[in-house]
Amino acid sequence: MKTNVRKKKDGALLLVAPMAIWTILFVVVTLGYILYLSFTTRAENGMGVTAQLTLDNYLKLLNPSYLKVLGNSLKLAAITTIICLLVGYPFGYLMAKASPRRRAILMLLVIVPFWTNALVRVYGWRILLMGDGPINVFLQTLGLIDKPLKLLNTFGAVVLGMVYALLPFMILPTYSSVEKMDWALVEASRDMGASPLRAFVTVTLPLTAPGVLAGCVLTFVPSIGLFFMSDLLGGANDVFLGNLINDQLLKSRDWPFAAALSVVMMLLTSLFLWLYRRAGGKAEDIAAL
Amino acid sequence: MKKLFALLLVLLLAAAPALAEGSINIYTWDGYFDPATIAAFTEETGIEVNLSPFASNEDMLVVMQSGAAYDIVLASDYALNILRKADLLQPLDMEALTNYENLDPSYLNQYYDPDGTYSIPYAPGSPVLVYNPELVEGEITSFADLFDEQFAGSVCLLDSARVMIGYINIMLGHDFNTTDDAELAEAAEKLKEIKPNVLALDSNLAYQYLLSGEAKAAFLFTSQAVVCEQSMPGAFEYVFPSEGIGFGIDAMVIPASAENPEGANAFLNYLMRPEVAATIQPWTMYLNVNAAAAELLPEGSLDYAALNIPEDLFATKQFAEDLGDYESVYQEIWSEFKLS
Repeated sequence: MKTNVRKKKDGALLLVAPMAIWTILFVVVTLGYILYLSFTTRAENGMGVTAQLTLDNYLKLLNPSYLKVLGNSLKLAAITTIICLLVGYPFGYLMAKASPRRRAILMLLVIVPFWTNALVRVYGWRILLMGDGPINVFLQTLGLIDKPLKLLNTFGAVVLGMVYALLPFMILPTYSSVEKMDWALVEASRDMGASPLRAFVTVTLPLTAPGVLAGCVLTFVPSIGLFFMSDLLGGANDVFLGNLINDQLLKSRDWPFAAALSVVMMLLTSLFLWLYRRAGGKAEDIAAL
Repeated sequence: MKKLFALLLVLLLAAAPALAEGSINIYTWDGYFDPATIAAFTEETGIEVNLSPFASNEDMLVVMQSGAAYDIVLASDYALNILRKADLLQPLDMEALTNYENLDPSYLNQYYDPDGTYSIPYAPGSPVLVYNPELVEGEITSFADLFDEQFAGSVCLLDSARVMIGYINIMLGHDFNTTDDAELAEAAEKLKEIKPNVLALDSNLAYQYLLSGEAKAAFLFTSQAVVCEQSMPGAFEYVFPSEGIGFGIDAMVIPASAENPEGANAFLNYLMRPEVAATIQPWTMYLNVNAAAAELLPEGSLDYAALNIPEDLFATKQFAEDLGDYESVYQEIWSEFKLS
């Protein structure tokens, strides 16, 4: 009997091993290396770092212009998340209530864009938004505007790109939570005399909250890091955390500072995941995607 | 930790095609060689040429630092200077390079290779100020002209801290690569004055704004300016700012770790042959480095304003050299400029 238990455990260990190796190699080691880099000093000869440990990289973050970048990033992430929520929730809700045939078509429409590289799709937006692009030409032909609107290289264009890229991550979890919901509860509340609005607020909304929460995390967290969006759609003022890390790594060749910025970004992300768990969110709701 | 990182890189590199006798491996950006040039070399010598692309000079530096064995690296001047200072290059075999004398001396012995022992220039160029005369009042001749009110919201600058702050430095009468804190503070202030005129900071796609008429003026890299001139001849004016010009040379070197230096030297010598070099310039659309090839170039190859830098300005050319710690200072000024 005893040996049996023992055997089972060994087997379990063997099964877990690939996962453990994967985690150690690609999560612990790489993140550890970034953490280590963030305390080093850049090398004199312009390549890499020297092992002289320092806190300077973190102190540099207190520079007002970098704090502004951080603020910008949070603002962009918040706006993106709110718009995704306002558009994605009704979409997911209606999708869940649609007939199976329609539902399949809608689902396909949400997923198909994923088959094309995000970068290519962003270039598509560039062309649409250009001064002589289809949108401006269309508006001019209708006589609604005299001269081309400045659509590209604006904060609005970045928000548009972000919402466009991240909307499915809001639609899918809200859809699945609405779809799983027990509609008998809504019917019960209606039978008890609740108005449709009251039934929605007191029954549907709380029951679908986990999906909404998961959707918010899934849009907020990546929107802090999608730097190519502001590179391609943003104007001169649109510098976000992701761009800053990219510039420090590739243009300043300042690995330690880039690493420190990355650590800050990871801490921010962890903070939001922690808040999500505190608010009662389950990791599975996110992992399910 | 570093060792492990190196090990991972080595594992990655091991996946690349194995080195055969009589083959050379070249590490450079995608699109820098005409496949026909390479095919002709292989046919003549039997030496196979494998091209491995990198995305940026910085990627290349990381890979070379971890001990990768490429036979030729083609990269930008400052990056080659970093390799040279780190002792990662080997001297060229001047006896094998019989065609070296064909090169235009004005591109030789630059700061990244002062004695001309390590490098062969391949693609030199200087950013060009391109403007649309129909939308601009008067003639534009200098960088300072871009500060004029008529350019409100209609100038594209390169998204490059070093090049653009370098131009401000020359305009203020300082060195392109200054590391004087007071001079840099002055440059940061001056830079802010042009902010109201900036439409976009873009190193790759700025020509689109010129073509669409949104931008009245834009800084373009050499080959982009040539493309502009080809696609809309006569539509734009091309100017090298009168204050002085920034310059860059993409050049070829043989790393110390090269496994087939003979093959590498043979390839370099082949590229410097006048009739071969005459096919390279029309492909790269940068300045022609091979004096002996000048008359063999196809008609009109050099008839672009972007390829004809006035001699007095050419004499003032300055490179964006690697500044170590000061790279971060330039980047900081640039970030502040963007956010201002």
